[in-house]
Amino acid sequence: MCECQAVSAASDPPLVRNHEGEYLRRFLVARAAGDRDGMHVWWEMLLVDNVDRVRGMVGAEARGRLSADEQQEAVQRALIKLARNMVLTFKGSSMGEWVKATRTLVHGVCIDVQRDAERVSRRERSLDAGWNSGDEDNPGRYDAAIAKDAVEHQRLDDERAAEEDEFELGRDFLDWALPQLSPRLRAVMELDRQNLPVEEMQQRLGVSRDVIYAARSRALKDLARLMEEYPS
Amino acid sequence: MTSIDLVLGEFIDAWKAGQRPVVDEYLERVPAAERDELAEQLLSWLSIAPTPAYDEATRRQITADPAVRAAVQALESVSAPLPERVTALRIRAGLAIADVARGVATAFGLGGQEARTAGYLEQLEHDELDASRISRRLCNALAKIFGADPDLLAPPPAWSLGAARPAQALFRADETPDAGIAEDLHVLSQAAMAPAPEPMDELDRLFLGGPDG
Repeated sequence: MCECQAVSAASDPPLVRNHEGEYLRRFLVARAAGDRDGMHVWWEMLLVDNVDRVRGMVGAEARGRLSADEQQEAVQRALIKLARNMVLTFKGSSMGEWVKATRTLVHGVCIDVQRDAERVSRRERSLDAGWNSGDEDNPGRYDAAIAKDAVEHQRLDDERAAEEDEFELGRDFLDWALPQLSPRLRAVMELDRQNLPVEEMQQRLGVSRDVIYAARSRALKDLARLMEEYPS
Repeated sequence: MTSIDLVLGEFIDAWKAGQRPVVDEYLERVPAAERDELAEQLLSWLSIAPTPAYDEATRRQITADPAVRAAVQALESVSAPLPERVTALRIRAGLAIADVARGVATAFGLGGQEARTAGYLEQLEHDELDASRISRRLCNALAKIFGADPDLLAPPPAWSLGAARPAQALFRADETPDAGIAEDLHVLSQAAMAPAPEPMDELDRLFLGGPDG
């Protein structure tokens, strides 16, 4: 038997080197006090710490559907929205909620960038098709602009409502989900969340690197399934 | 162990070591048919992954990224009070107050009232107006004139206006209230006889009428 089962939450060092949690806590304190400078400082720290997470999420969401330039555009838009919108709309209190909200935001931005790219491509194709053919499927330039504006407003309203629903989640997902994993998978995830190098994990758990890799993969699948079941 | 397990495992190792792995490079290492599954796994990891403790050089590299600098600038513009945001956006757009006043007058069909509009705009920028009384319609019009996102001029949420004031204390009168009540009645009677203020016109409503004005 491997030593995985000896790794319990009670005997572990604290989960995650949680400097972002501290940034978020300080941001929330500054916000409660109406301290704009403090809010700005701590939100900026959170933003900088999570640039690679946003970039990675964009890459994983894109999956070859966005070009390198479009991915860069999506990263830029996501970071601006994080800075400009989420600083105002975030209602959660944990990093789990923050990251989940970020993932929702990145997903929406990737869809937007893809749609914009398709629109540009359609516009390029339609340059020689005239300004206004007058039929419903191919509206004139002003009709199209008005329709686009209305759709965009509706989408932004829906997005904001969806984000607000997400932020109502009261608990951190991992506090709920990790105890539901098997002891072996949980042990691997907990050591991963402490940023331990794989060599040290091998020593602690008494297993090979391949076993750790397979356990990670299985644990992430289980967590993805649990995320869908997560009670709101 | 599958190829997805291996590539995912190596991505996580690189992430934890602060090597800033690039998702695309890892996706390309598995057959096309397996990329969606690996991407899902990577998203799951990125949703729970701790941020590596970056060293100073890496942090400097991150903060020097133009995308990050643009985001930080956007953050600065949001957290400032409305008068500062209006001034900053006007200057960024290269407009004088008179230009903005013309734009506002045109937008709301207030031809001939450019000078009054400019006066209100000056008061707004000098923080002489109650920012919570500025109408949403005006904020949207200003954003359009500045070529900026309307969110940049959105009214601040309640929490950003400072901590709530404690409720006013109520005291029971210790002495006979006759004199005080007589004085109040006198003030009220004077006020009742004073002429009513002029009703607000469209321009007043934009600057003084509240968010729905």
